[in-house]
Amino acid sequence: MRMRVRMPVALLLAAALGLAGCGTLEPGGVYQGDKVLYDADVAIATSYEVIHTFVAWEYANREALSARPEIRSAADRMRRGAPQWVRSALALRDAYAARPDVETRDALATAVGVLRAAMLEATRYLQAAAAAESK
Amino acid sequence: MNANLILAVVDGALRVLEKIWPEFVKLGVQGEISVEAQAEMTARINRLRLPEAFSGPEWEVSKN
Repeated sequence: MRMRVRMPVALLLAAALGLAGCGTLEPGGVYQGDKVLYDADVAIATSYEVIHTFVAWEYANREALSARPEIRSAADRMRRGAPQWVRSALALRDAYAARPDVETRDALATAVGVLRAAMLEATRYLQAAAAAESK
Repeated sequence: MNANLILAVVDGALRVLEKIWPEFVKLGVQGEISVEAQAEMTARINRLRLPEAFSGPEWEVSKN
């Protein structure tokens, strides 16, 4: 039984640690120097990718994972929730981009926090699988 | 925590860092995030607006 995790563990760790996007923005880019917006985009895109990797992995290995029903349950919760979480984060991201103030920034941060929590949960399962695979 | 355990933990942390560093650099942790990288990030975000982002069998809730 082989349960390959395609996303590099390194990227999962980077995403989980929240260390992505710590640089400064080169002038002339689409973000016009708005690091809050860029960091939000990194968080949204990375969260989506980790969640997608997780649900795809669970789908591809469902039979092998049958002894761990909590994984299927978590994946299904993300399948139900992720489209709405991402839509909501994108809408609030656009609201912040159109009117960058404390209110829109805080709303965006809350939406990103929801995605980040799901990403961390997915990361835990994927890291455990990657660790088991490397043994 | 004894000395050997500390060394093992440090060694493990260094190995993780060694693995993840190229990803950090790619993601723009070091220095400036280029105009091209910013455009790519926007493109990634825009792809999430498409219905394809959540299509495919892996997104279907399992039956029971």
